[in-house]
This record gives sequence, structure tokens and C-alpha cells, in this order.
Amino acid sequence: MRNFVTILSLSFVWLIMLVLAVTVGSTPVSVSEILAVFLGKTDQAALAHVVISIRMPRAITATLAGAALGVAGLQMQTLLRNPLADPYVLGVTSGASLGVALVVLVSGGFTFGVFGASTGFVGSITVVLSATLGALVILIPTLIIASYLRNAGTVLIFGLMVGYAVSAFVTVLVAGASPDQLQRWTAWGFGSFSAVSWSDLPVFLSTICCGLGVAAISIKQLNATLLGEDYARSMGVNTRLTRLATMGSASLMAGAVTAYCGPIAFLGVAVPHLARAVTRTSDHAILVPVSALLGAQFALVAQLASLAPGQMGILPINAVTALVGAPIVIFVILRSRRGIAW
Amino acid sequence: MQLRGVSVGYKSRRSTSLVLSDLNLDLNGGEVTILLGANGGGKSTLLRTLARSQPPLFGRIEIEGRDIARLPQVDLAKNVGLVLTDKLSLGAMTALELVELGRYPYTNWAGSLTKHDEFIARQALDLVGAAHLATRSVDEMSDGERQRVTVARALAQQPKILVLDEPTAFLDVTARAELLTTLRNLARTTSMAVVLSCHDLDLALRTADVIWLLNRRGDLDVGAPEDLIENGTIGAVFSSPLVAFSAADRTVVARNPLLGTACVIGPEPRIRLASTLLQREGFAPSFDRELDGIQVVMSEQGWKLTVGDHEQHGTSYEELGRSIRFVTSTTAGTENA
Repeated sequence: MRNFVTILSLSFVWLIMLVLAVTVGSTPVSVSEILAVFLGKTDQAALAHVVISIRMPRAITATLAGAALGVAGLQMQTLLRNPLADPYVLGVTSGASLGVALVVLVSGGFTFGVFGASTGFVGSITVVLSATLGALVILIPTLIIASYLRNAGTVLIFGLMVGYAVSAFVTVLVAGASPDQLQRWTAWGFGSFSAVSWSDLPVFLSTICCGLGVAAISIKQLNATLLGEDYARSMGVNTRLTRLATMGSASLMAGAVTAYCGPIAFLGVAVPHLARAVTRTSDHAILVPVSALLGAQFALVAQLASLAPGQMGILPINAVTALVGAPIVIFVILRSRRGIAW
Repeated sequence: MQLRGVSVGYKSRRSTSLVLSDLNLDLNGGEVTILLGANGGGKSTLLRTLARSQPPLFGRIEIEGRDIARLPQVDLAKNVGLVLTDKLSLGAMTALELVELGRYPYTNWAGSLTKHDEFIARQALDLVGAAHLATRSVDEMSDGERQRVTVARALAQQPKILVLDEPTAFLDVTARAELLTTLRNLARTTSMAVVLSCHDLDLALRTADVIWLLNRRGDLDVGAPEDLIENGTIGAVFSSPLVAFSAADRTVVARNPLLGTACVIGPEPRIRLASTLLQREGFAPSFDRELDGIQVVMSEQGWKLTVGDHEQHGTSYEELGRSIRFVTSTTAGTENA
């Protein structure tokens, strides 16, 4: 009952943030103006453009990316029984980085003419495709091997090693890149929720919903996996299928977010801890929705905070997630009596 | 549960390492079976094989005539409950929530609990004497409390066979005895078969209905504790150059170099305690008054130690021990001279 109230109030907070994300910006828009835009009663075409084409998709993207990373992080932490696990442990982001690095750093001249300066570069169709391909090339063999490894600890180390190995290739590419290519590579690494347009949203939305759906129907298995895979198996869990479905859906979500928004850091590790601290439960029936809601809020807060410099420009999302998030997580951990709420 | 021609061990692509081979064993409902043996002998491997955590290399394991290799995972969970040594780290999970997880094979896809499931979970906590722990967080419990709750979780699966790998490992003496007593009572009241491995020889021999003893030939001796004590197999496994199995003590005791015989006289239970003290100091206690040499007379007030024509009195056993050690060191000194 208490947790139901938590979920309800978190949903309410999320709605408020969604409204804030649309109203706040370099040109503030009032709630009544937004309503006017929706009802088609405004004559300000520029205002309608800002709300419909820029801020709405940006707010929706932040919501989806935050929810996805929060839930994927929770799935990985539970499956691997490691409080520092995140959605990227299987090397999916390294794979995506490699894909993007190949496009940006090797064949950079090709995209330069099409997309011009670094603005609007993240999330361009070339980048999304290369990130997705890179992620899949790494993910599929990793998933197959990981599902046959003896225990979760081995999976964690295996994933980390794959990540390092792939990052090594990226480092080699970076070493040979021109300053111009490097700048755009770095811009991709900052992360951004601004690059997803209405036409991208259906694919992004359905991918994330698939991932969230798998998480939702495997709540029972996740709860049993809290005891470790040996116990889970003895309780009747098909641990191989659970591992495959959990790693698959978490990596799918992480891959989609990386492809469309760049490598969004920190959210995946931090949000599950916040969810446990807020709800004081280990029950995934509560933790999955709460992680999704908190993740969405976290991403929206980061998005709003990234606008802080005003006319001066915007802050990189990754700088904001860590700057805003690290103090919150440290506070939560220090406040809870037993240290990390795990 | 019946094991027919079962061999356990590990198989890799290149080699097969056989740990125990050609086992023919039965686990009977209502009985406690305790697996004894040295570390590294394959106790865990055998228990893991019983719970199908790993497949047998050869042979069949059957539950009520059905090969467990063919049981779906959920059906297996309804037949075999497992308790491992892993220390669980469960965050905010309460004891009742942990036990309710044991209803996994019976609940629907969402894991929602029916009234019946809740009743069984409560009952499982009750059976291990942990009803009062229901709302406590598992992470904040003592090792003994946590182990009881872990057993309750396995009970909530309502298994026909309960397999426990060293359930007493982290427990203190009292908690160990309590847990084994609880398990024996459970076996009797629920007619479940309980099988566990244990390092506490004395406790195991007092609790078990059947002992599976891993001997040094890599084979299992099976029988009631008394059978295995009588035919000397326990002694053969647990004795070493330094210690010997003592049937009277049901445990291994140090092999002290025998210095001689000492006569002990006095009322129970003081005479018994004085005897153990003499044994520790290397003297075989005897109740024969006519013996020369060391004589200890126990009374309600204290003790009297007579060596030849030298006599000494005292009250505590500590003093008695010190006096005997003084005597043995001086005699050893004269002998050397």
C-alpha cells in the first residue's frame, strides 16, 4: 500500500517535470501557451515549432532513455548480484562507440558534408545505424557466450573484458583522428536528448517498450535471482532463459539509448540504488516501476540542468548526470544506516 | 529418493574427473541422513548432484520412480529443496518475503501469492521456530537466525527431500545443535527426507538416523551411527597420528603419550571430570584403589592428590591440573637424570 502511494506520487512528480521540460528553455513558454499550441489555437508558428518539434520530442526522449537505463541497471545489478553493475557491462556501449568511431573517425569526410557542424550530429541516421550495428556485432556473440558461462560473476568479468578490448580499438582510431573528427567524436560522447525527432520516436519507443516489457514479465524470476542462480534454479527458475532474457532486454535498451542519445553515463548505476533507498524493498514488482519513474525524472532533471548556462549554450548531459547524481547517491548511501542499500 | 549406479564428478571437454563412483543409495522419508567425510572428498559434489545442480556422470537418480534428469525445473523444485552455504545479501528483504520466494514453483507468472501460499510460508517459519522473525530484515539477523529462515524458505517449497550443504558452517555451538534438532523434528513431523553434510562429528553422530561416510578409498559406508562406530569405519576415517576416534566421546580426541595409570576415587560427577583432566595430562584413569603411583581422591570439598608419600590438597580443577603437571615434570626430570 505504502509502495503504491510511492509509485503514484512519483508518477505525479514525473508529470510535473515533463511540463517543466516543455516550458523551461531559452524562450520560456507558459502552460497556457502550450495548451493553445495543442488545441491549434495559436498563431505563433515559431512557438508551435519550439514546443512540437524541439521540446516535446526532447522531453519524451529523456523520459524513455531515463526509464530504460534505470530498469536496465536494476536488471543487471540483480542478475549479476553486483551493486556496481550497469546496463553497459556486457560491452554494448563499447560496441556502439566502435561503430560510431568507425564512421566519425575513419570515414568522417562522408558525414561532414551532410550534417555540417557538430549540432544535430548526434542521433543522425548514420550515427544511429553505426551505433546499432556496432552494438549488435558485439552484443550477439557476447550474449551467446554469456548464457553458457557457469556463474554470474564470470559473466561480469567477461563483459568487462570485452568492453576493454573493444575500447582499445576505439583508442587506436582516436589516436589517428584529425582535430575536427575528434571534436565531433567528443560531442557524441557528451550525450544528448535533443537529437531524436518525431520520425525517430516510433522505433526508439517500441525498442524501449520491448525491453521494459521483458523486465515486467520477468519480475518473478528477478526476485528469485536475488538469491543467486543456484538457489533460483532450485526454486524452479529456468536460469539460462532468465539470464538471456534479462541481459538481452537490458542490453537492447542500453544499445537503443546509446544509439539515439550517446553513451549516457551514471543513470544506470545510480537509479536502482535510489529506487531501493526510496522504497526500502527488494521486491521487483515495486523496484521495476519505481526505477523507471526515477530514471525518467533523473533524465529530465539532467536535461533541465543542462540548460542552466542560458544563452551561453548547453552543458553536456553526461556532465550533468554525474554532477547532479553523484551527490544525491552519496547522500542516500551515507544516510542509510547500513551503507549501500543493497 | 534412490540412487542407482550413480557416479558423480566433473566432466570437461578433455577430461572426466570422477569423484565418487557407482553409488547405490536410498533416502527415506522421515529420516535424517548426514554425509560425513574429510574436505575435498566430494560431499558437496554429491549433494549438488542430488539437487540436480549438476548432472550425474553415470546412473539414475529417481524420486518415487521418476528419473530426476527428466523432471521439468518447476517439478524438481516441488520435490527437492536446497540450502547452500552462500551468505545471502538481500537488502531490505524480510524473513517472510524470503520464505514466500520459496512458493515460486506454485505461483502464477506474476508470482502473486494466494491465501494458501501465505499460510504455507507462515507455517514454514513456524516449523523452524522463526515465526517471531517474520518482519525482521534478513540482513540484520544473526547467522543462526538467518540459517533457520533459509531452511524455512526451502520448506515453503514443500519438498519431499531437503538437501543442505554444510548448514552449520557459520553457526556457534548452540545454534548448530538447535538447527540439527529442528531438522530432525522436521523429518519426523513432515516425513520429509533430510540429507546434509556436516563437520561436527559429535553432533552428527547424535542426530543422524543414517550416516553416509566418505571413506579414504573414495567410497561411501552407509549405516546408523552405531553401526559405523561398531565396525570401526568411523575410527578409520577420522583417526590420524595425532588424534584418535573415541567411541565413548563420539568424537576425536588427542593421542597423548601415555605416562601411566592414575587411580581416581570419589562421587559422580566429579570423578568423571577428574578423569577427563587426567586423560588430558596423559594418564589412563582407573578406579582400582590398590594401584601404586598417582592417586586422586575427589570429595565434596575438593581434591587430594597422593604421589608416593607426598600429599597435596586443593579445591579447583585448575590447581589439580597444575599439581599433576608439576609431578610429571619432576618425575620426567629424575628419569632423564
